[in-house]
Amino acid sequence: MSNKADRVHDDDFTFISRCQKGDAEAFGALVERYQKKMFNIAFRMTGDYEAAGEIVQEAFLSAFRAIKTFRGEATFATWMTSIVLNHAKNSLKKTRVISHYETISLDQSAEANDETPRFDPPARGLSAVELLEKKNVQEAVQEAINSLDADFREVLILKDIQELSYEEIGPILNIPDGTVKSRIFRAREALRERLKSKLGDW
Amino acid sequence: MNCQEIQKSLSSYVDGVLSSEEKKLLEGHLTSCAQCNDALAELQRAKDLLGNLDEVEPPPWLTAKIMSRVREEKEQRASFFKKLFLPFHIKVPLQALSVILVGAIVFQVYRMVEPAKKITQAPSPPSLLMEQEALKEKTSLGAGKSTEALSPLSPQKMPADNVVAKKEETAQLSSGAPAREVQKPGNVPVTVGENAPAIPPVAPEEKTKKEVAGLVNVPRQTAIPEPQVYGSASGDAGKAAFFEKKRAEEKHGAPAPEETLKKQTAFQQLMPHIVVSAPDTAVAKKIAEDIVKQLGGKQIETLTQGATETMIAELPSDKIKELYEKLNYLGKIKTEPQLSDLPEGTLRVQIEISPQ
Repeated sequence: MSNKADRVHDDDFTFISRCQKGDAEAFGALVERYQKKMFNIAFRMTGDYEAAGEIVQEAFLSAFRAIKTFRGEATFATWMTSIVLNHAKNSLKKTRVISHYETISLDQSAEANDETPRFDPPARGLSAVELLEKKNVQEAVQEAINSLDADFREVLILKDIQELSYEEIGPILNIPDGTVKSRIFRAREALRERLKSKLGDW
Repeated sequence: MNCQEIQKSLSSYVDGVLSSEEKKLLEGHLTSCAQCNDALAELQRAKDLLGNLDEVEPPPWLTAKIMSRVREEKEQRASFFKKLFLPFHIKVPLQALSVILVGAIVFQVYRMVEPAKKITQAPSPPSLLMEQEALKEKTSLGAGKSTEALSPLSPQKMPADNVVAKKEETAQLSSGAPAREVQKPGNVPVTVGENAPAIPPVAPEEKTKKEVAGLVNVPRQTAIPEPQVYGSASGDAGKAAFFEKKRAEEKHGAPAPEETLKKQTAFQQLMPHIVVSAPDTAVAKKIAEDIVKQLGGKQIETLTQGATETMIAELPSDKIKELYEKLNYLGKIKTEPQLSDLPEGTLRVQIEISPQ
């Protein structure tokens, strides 16, 4: 596992150094490799498929602009994740401000949802009822995440969705391990409360 | 360990990061505490729900969109760098060239203006001009030393004196001394001795030494029997008036005829004026030049006005008598020979050869 990670890291670095020498096309390989992971982080942070697309585009563009400052102290994935999280948080701040002042229109919300999230094809062998059930649960979980503070969202996404270790999360969020641990605890407690009220009988 | 502490550790327990000792303590508590067991079950469920969230498929165009924006960015950056550095390739030499050009023009203008500035700043007219003025005179009056007395005022010879003269001039003008009055000879009879125009304290150049020597030798008390135009206060005022005219002349070009006349009267007593009438003035002039040379004199200035030839010459005062005699051969001397009371040393004379 760690061998594979090292190999990916080395591979990333050759593309990065090509980018740093001015080869913009080398960046394409990195985008190809990480866009799905980054998109999922952005999507779970915002719960908005469209916004996630914008965030990921902006995040990769920022990374490209700053590629010369990348020194390889962290992996490209770590670096990229922190950029996506920052963009996602900024986007959340913006939408919060907008939603605070905008009155919600029923037509608008119907139009805004025309692009629905595309999930990976579910595992075979599930009945239609089970699929519907699963979809409802997933939506409920996302809603629960959406109700959390951005600081809680990001630790949960990194720890429980992306399944990163405490040691990996620290550098991404630029916080010490102890803080990672306590924040994860408080985030899970908050999520547990929200899920309890949403799912009821879980 | 109470339940609160246990529940705090549950998060780390589900992640499997508790030490074996903490783990043992926690598991021991869980066997006997239903509440903490429920908390653990809920926590585990929440973790599982998050972990079981399906991966979302990004829009298929995402990579292409990102890369097109990256290429756009790169082009923009390239053109930005071009814009940033283009001026260094093209404009800087142009700017440098224009700066050099402007500098050269300024220097040239400065050089052109500099001599003109000197002339306009000069508070007294150059001696040459004065001499030319004197040459225009029709009457011969006054002693030669008058010229000598004035010549130090010439800017080329006595720069230091210029300042004094200028000051005097402005002082006189501001004090409201009527300048015109002084121009009429004889109105204010003053003797030079009392109030001779300031003799420069130092002769700055060897060129002026002779002149200064001449000046010093002038017997001031007796030199000019006639009423003197240039006296102390009135003399200064006279100078002021003269300078004023001079300036007006510089401004307006040729002096008006009446102004020239006034100037002529102002220079009446400057030097012995000999008027000779000869049949051929041009030839007579050449002969007169030879005469001056023979007498050890030196020709300073010549002026031709129609048929009339005028010459200013410097020669020893004891040769004046001989000059008269020799000029007598040339033609008829119309002016009264002025031989008595001549100052010692070098003297300037004005010889005018007019047609018969």
